[in-house]
Amino acid sequence: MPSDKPSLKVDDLVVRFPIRQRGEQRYITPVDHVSFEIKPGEVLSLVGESGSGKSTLGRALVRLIEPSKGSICIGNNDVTHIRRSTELRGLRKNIQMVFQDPFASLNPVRTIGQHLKILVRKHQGLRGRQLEQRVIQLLDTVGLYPGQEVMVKYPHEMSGGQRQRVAIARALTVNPSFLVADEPISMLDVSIRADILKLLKRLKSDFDLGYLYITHDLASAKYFGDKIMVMYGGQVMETGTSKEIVDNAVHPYTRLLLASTAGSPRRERVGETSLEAPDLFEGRRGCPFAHRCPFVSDVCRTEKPPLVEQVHGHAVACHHPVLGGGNRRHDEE
Amino acid sequence: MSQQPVIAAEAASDRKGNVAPPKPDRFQTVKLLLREPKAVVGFAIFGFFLAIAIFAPLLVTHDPTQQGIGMPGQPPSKTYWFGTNGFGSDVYSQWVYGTRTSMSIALQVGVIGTVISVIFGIYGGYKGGKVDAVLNWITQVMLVLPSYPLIIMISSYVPNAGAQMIVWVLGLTSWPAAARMKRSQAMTYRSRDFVLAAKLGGLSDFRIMATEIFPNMLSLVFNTFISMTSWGIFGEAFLRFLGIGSTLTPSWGNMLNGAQNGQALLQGMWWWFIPPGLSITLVILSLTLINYGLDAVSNPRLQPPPKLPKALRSQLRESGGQEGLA
Amino acid sequence: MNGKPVLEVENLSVCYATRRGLATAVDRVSFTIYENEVVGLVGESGCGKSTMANAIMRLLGDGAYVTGGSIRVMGQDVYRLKGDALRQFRWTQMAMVFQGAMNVLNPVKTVESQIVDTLLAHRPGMSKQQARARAEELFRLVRIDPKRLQSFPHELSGGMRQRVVIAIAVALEPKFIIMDEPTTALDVIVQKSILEQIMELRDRLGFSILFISHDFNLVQEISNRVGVMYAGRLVEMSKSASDLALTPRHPYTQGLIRAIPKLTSDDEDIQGIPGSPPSASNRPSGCAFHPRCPYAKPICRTVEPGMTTVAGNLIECHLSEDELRSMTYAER
Repeated sequence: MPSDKPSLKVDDLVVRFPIRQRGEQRYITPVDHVSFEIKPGEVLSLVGESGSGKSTLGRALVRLIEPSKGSICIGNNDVTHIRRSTELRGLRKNIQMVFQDPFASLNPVRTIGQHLKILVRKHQGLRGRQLEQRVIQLLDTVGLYPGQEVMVKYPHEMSGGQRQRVAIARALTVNPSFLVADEPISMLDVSIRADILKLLKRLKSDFDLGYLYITHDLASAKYFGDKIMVMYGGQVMETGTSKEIVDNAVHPYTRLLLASTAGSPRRERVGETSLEAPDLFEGRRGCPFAHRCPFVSDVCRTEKPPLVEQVHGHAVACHHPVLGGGNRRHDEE
Repeated sequence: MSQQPVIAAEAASDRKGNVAPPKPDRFQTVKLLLREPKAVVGFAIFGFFLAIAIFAPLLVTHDPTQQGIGMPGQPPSKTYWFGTNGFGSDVYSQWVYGTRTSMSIALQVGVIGTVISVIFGIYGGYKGGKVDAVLNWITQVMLVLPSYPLIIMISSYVPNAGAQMIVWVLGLTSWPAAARMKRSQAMTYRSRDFVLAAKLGGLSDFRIMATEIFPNMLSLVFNTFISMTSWGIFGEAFLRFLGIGSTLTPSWGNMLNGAQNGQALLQGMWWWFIPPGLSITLVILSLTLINYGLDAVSNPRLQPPPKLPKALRSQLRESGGQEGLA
Repeated sequence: MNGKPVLEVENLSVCYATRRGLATAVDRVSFTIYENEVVGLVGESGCGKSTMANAIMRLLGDGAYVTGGSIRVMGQDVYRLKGDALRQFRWTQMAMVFQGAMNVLNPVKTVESQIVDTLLAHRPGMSKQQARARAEELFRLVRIDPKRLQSFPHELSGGMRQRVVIAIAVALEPKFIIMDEPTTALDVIVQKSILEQIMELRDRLGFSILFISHDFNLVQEISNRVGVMYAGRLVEMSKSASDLALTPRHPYTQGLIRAIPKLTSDDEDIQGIPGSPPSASNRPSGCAFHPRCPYAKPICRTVEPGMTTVAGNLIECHLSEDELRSMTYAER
């Protein structure tokens, strides 16, 4: 679908943090040379475990964190290092964020109406009745009505799912082109997760919204995402269309993830796996997954595998991709 | 779009079916506070003294500043309700006006101390970085300076310090500990999701501090105001007792000072020092009680779980009780 | 399958005291777990599953009361135990694995001393030497390098801490272990690996598990039978975890299954359950699920349904077997 909206391009992005360890200053790189592109109306699911750098990447996109290297561009507009508040405000009109915990992302002492009004007043300059109308319309968009009743509620008077809808409405006040959704359903009750996912999906087509959908769950990544990008230890392991990744994963890590996902018919023994978190220190060598990989060899420990395109759009960073495995559904039968 | 009307669906799950739109209860904390016995007693005592302070001109029976109205050192009588002091002034009238002076100084100290601690605490804690470093440095310096000697030094350099001087001296030395407490709380809010979300919404730092962070710290702010007011009552008495500042204005501190100099205790003139002394104790007690009540209301988790009616309890089997696991 | 019953819960009700009176968290729940069985218990937050676990372990906090029914573990009514007898019973006969390993382990003691302490407290005859040896053995059992025994909890990864907690739970070889969301806080791969471990241990040591989770798929995979709780009631107890596709289920269970996106299905229709679970202090009348149930009939609003057996499964619903069946097939 052609669109006049710009796309979001991330090129070779690096985020590094200083940490002090035993009196020594060291750096960790939770995002280590990551590149991708999200077109308007497209959903990229970013899948990874804790420590994979997925949340850090999400926060870098909305510039809550400043990247160290690489670039983030919206259209031709490089926003990697903007500092001035006017520029940041401009960026955040294009890209907004929905947080994981709906109990923490709303201010407990302000009503739902106050949450939205302050932003609508600021960005659309509306007052009085018009302001109220717009807020009611926003609430309606996320499936919360009657708006008059919702507006006067405090967050603690609403359920988790309703709060998450408010958080989504808040992100929509500026009419963004992109949303970073950081595990938006993982804290919700199972029975209401589906409706939030469906809401996000509907907004995607209604507003031509592009998403970076951050999750640890491959099933929802596949359900919502057009593409899936799998990260481990700050680096991209495998990326491709959702169907391709789920059916024809070739990276040992992706395959391990698939085998571990509950409800996968391809559940197989995971067996021994290192329980240590990946090493994020700057200057580490080789593949971050090497310490857990069942196919590890010497080269994995010394040389970082490049991200190489296998088939169209399906790229893998691995020295020993499990090629020819094909659809893993067949090899068990 | 077959989105379920979310609120409607939930309303339907209510047994009564139709629910009136809930009214937000902005004054819930106040209502709860008024149900807390400690706070109610506190408010009653404080309110009593406040009323005396406000209506002082209507309540006096004699001119409080004039000496030699009656015979010095008379015990309480029908004419002189609290007796007369060693200079022959009416103690009751002095006490009434003293209440006015002391309360007004205390409340002003409360306001000044609270405002400074809020500005230093929230601004520093939220902003972080260099601004915070400077503000925090000032706070730390103020905190380690011994405040009593400092107050005495400042006051004694200013000849004939009036009430206003005392207000500023006490106000400016009162805030560091409270500011530090607010700073640490503001720091935890800085990285909360709702503050980040407001930032992403493009709100200015000032707006974020004023609308997102400050309302969450209201109970702490109120708490500070009460402690600072308490400090004002005590500080005023302390300074005047040492004879610092003008001794002409009637105040509780001045009355105590006068009683001390006039050797009231030795001469058994208890009516001279009991009214101001008891008042100071009662006001500070009332403020402490209000603070306790506030604590109970704002931290409901610290409260024991509600007791069941006895009749019901006897039917129940024992509750498990948290016993150690090992 | 049926051997000796290990856990018998009969008509159990647990209430919390609130300012507005009693709130029923667990409402007349009955079920039995037999030897060597894994029974899964699924439900959303606030449905009473953790309260029930705590009631079984006699770990209810202040303000929570067992208001009716009985709990027997290995034939012993746990609410008749007092003081030392209770402490001895807990851990030697029944144990529990909690969700947050960090909250259970003492942060200032090495994991070895924590295991040794537990052993010595319950095995009076045991020497310190023997306890240490046993700790090492336990570590090997949960596949952690015994060198790690000297570590403090914070020096271990989340997965390892959870294994330590499991090691402590099986240390005294209880016949019955409650696992309350034991892997929820962990990453999927570690989660899978720990589940494998749990099943292996069960095969070797032979104990029964009550496995509590909100993740239907997970419970389905490891359990012999699955119970579903909603608003304090046990609304369904399946005969077996398999043949899911063919068995009729409670409308709520149906809803849960439909709400989860599946990795394999290409048909993309997932459906949430409208509304949210009711709070313990405000339960709907009749069948508590009726306001959210797409199949609710007038009777559901007023009359509480009883347990009926539908194709071997216990289901608490007003719908007839045929209705349940047709609705199950409609979803397949």
